[in-house]
Amino acid sequence: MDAKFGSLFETIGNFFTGGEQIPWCDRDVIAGCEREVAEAANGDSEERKNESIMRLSWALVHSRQKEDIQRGIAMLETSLGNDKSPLHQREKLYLLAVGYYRSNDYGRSRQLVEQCLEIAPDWRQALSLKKIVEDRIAKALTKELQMFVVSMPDGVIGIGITATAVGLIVGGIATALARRS
Amino acid sequence: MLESELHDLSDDADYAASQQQGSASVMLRSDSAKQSSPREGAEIVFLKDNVAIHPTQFASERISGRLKLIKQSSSLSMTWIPYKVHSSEARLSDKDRNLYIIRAVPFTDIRSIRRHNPAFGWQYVIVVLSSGLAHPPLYFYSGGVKEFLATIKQHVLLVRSEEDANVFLVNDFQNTLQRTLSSLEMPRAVPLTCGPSNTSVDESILIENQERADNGANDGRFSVNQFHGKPRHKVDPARDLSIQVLEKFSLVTRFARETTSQLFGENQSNGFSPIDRRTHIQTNLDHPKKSSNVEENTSDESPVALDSQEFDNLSLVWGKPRQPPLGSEEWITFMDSEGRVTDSEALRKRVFYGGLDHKLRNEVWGLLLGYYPYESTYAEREFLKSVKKSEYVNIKNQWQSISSAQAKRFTKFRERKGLIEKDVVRTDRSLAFYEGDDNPNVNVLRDILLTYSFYNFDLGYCQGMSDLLSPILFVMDDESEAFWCFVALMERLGPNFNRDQNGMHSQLFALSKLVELLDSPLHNYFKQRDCLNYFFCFRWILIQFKREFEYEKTMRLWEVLWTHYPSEHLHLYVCVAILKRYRGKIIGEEMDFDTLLKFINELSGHINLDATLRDAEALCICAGENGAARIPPGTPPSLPVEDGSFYAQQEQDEIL
Repeated sequence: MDAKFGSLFETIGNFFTGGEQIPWCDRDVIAGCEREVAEAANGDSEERKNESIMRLSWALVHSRQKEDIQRGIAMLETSLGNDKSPLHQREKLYLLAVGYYRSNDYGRSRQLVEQCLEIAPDWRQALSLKKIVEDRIAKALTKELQMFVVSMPDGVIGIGITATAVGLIVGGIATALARRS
Repeated sequence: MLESELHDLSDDADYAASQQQGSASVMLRSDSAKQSSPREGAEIVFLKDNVAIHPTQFASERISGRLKLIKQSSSLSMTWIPYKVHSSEARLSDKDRNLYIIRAVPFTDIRSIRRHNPAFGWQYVIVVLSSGLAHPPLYFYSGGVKEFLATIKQHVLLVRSEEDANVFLVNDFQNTLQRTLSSLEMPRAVPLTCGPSNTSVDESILIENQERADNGANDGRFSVNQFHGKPRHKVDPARDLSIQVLEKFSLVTRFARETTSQLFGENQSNGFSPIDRRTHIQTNLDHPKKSSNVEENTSDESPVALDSQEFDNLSLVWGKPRQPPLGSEEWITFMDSEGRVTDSEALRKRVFYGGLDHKLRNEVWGLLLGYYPYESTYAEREFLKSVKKSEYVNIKNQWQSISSAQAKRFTKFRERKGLIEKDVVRTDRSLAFYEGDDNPNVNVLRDILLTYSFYNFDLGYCQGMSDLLSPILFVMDDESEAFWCFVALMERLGPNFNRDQNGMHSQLFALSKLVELLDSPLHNYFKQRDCLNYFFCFRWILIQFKREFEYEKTMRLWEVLWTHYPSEHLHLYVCVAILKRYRGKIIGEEMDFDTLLKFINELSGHINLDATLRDAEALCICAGENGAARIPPGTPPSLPVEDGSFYAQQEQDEIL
């Protein structure tokens, strides 16, 4: 059990100190959180129970298995109404955004991360997730444009439109990198 | 009761599968009933074996068990117990297996049940408690999800989520009225009293509602609105610009797709296309003067603003009236005895104000486009024609000599050929010249485009080129001459199709500058509405208004543009003139980007050409040197600047 939680904290630590990636979570960490929830259910304080449920939610939305993500989303959407404190709201919104991102629902994820940033505008985790989601949206839009050019002969837009999009993305990324360095 | 239950499930495949195990189920049910008889009033109303959970991703570690629904007095509860496993086979410890036991969870503690049907794999259900905890997904290896939900519905108020057909909300009301309405399939006849804990669910449903109700246009509006508001957090402007541009392009593509599907739909349903309404070449060709007179008699739209009144006064001063088309007798006076055009400026001015009789186009378009020099004689033009014809045959032979074996190893050739063949069968088929199956003119159109893609291999073929070639072939009616006129036109309009889009960018940029100069209020409106990219004018510029006018008017407009009088960039002033003419409507209805885009597209076929040309001339004179100074050098259709410093070639090919 301690080994499991060590792995969990290590994962979280990597997230805070590492780059732009969203961490993955293994099933053994999830099992550890499950046990913690079961133990907390036996006479522990309400706060302790809710904390263990939140940790389980965190682990689920970061899972590699789709059904775990669905379970995490279901839990977070239900508990979002149970607790109105801004701190907990922002954490749940962030985790929901991660869950929808991992479920390839980028529009929803973007919406949720925007709501999260309304509560905590400078939260680095959420800003990082926003960037990741928007990159993915940009990819999807570019792909849509390319498919449009190929599949819609009556379209009036030249083939170069995708190059424009690609160039703009590259330009944007280059600008971002230039600012960073 | 029992018959009703059977009827409800008779169409369920899972139920049919269950029947096959009927005897086993009956035995199990009997045993369970006996076991539970000591407890007072407890009844098993649902039992399903082979319901499993997956603690790990390995199939060997799945835990199979039995799922029960137990009714005791007026309350329903759910139980899931894993099967006993011999210790030698167990991979998970007993403690771990028991961790997942669901012991008689009352439905008063359950908030919702979610059903998932993965494309691959087994159907599973997630049961969510009010506390926010959800049990691990329950996989129904023997089917029966539908039966499971139907049984719950008989004992508990189970409401399907309005937004997701696979989410079921559980409410265990003691209210007799609610239960009565529920059994009558009218659970919403009386509004439910939701406690505070249910508010988030309703809000979530509302959010999903909005999302579900959105269509493509609304998506665009939503995106645009995001960028209108001030960002509450620090945002990388370059990134937002990229996303924004992409979303704008996405709007363009979505709208174009919808328009195309609408046209196709109409074609398929009744074989009649709106394009037919806008093409009356026969009548117009037979009575060009009559058509012109009718146009001149058309009353202009009444001015809607003070600026428009001032503008109209100004056009009365500067915009000269349109003239009838240039005819043969007058055309002869522009040439000397050997066929040279003695005063090309005078000719161009004359064509600018009236255009050409159709039968003269075959002769004059070559001069306007620059294929024939103005100072060439009849004899020289005939000679040039024969020289160019053999040159064309040579270029055409480059692709005609490619065998099918070689074509298999020539991907770019196959791709271009495929694109061209798709486009030519959709280009101006409502015109008699191109209509019907196996039309040789369509084949010639294809051959010219394919030959051009070899003549200018770097540019290749892009959509829109068939729109530019179609009237040229119609007029020249000769494959080689049409090809070389097309080449001359593409020398000027080719940048419209460049991969880096520098041609389009410079024209849209110049257009924004001209609007700023000639109509500041309209410019400020576009700025406020985030429309300064002028993408809504993209199609106008790319194919020179080809789809905005009927065929005869398109040809008239093009010969006027090709005179380059009073400006090489008259087409930009045409854009400004159209926008100014409809500015009252644009500003009055507070059009945003997607509404404006839709409006501009719907203008197709409704623009008064003569009035627009008069306005464009007046605007060009008003702008004068200021206008010319705002158009960057080398902006199409000007010939490219000699040195490459203005638009250095980018390495876009590498990216692609």
